[in-house]
Amino acid sequence: MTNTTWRLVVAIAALVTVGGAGFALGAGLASEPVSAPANPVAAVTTAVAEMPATSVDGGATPSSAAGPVTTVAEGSPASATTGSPVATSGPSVTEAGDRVEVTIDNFAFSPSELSVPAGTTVVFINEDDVVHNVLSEDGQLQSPDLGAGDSYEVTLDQPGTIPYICNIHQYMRGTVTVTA
Amino acid sequence: MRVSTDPLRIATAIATLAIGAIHLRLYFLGYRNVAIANTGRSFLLNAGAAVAAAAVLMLWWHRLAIMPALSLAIGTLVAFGLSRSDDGFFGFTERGWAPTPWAGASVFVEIAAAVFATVSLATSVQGDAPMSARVSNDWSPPPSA
Repeated sequence: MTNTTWRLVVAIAALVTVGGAGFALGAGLASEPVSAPANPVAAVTTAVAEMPATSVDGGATPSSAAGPVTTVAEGSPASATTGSPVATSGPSVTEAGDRVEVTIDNFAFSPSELSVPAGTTVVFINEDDVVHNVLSEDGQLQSPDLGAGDSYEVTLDQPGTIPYICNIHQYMRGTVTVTA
Repeated sequence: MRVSTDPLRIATAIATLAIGAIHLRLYFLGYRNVAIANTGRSFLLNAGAAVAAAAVLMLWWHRLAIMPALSLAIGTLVAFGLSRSDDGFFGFTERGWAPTPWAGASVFVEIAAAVFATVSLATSVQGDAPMSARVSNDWSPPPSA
């Protein structure tokens, strides 16, 4: 390669360096703030719109679905299973006021789909080493940033389906269905 | 095998190794579990590529040796920027400067590595001397090259 060619290579390298730096810095600054989303409704709406149909087997989105729907049954421990949730048949009969845990582990909510009776307290526990949070469109779930080991509790009284995301890693999605 | 003593190459190599070190740290911090498009494994690949790029930079006298480090720095910057977009980096998304302080530190060393590499490349090209002679004062090509 001639010197002229190398000079051209240097010029291109300089342009790409400046462009790459600007792109990265701009993207970091322009993306949603970690603790105070500018438009949480839009963020959740977009994420929910891209969610697959309710999947009982939890296999549609590998990164976010961590297992089948978990329904807390009568007589079972108050806490939802962690790690390997197993769907139970039949309606949820947990008494209102019980506590159910959702773990955040390996960049996924587990269980990703949860059904609880109204009045249940859902406890989100971050077992990852990175920060996550929990955000729903209707504002019922709006956690602060959760570091490793941090938890967030919310008592859900209104029947309905609440899709939520991690606002930091917006491909992480889950759903809580509150039954009457 | 002779090791380069060119300050710019050394600075580029250090910054490149820092890129790899940060991504290795993030890999063990939990990003190894990100399954989307093998994003987790890409952090490990980044660390390995950084070591290789730094080694080539320090052990090969030719100015082409600068290109792997420059490419790695630019590529990592672009990947970071894409991960902050709505579509993400092959689906993996993050917001702001999470995880702090690693994201900010990574961007800093990536920019530094790219700048050092570009300047190193530029200084090796300056003048009208033949390409093989444009090396730092005490770093010369091996006789067999």
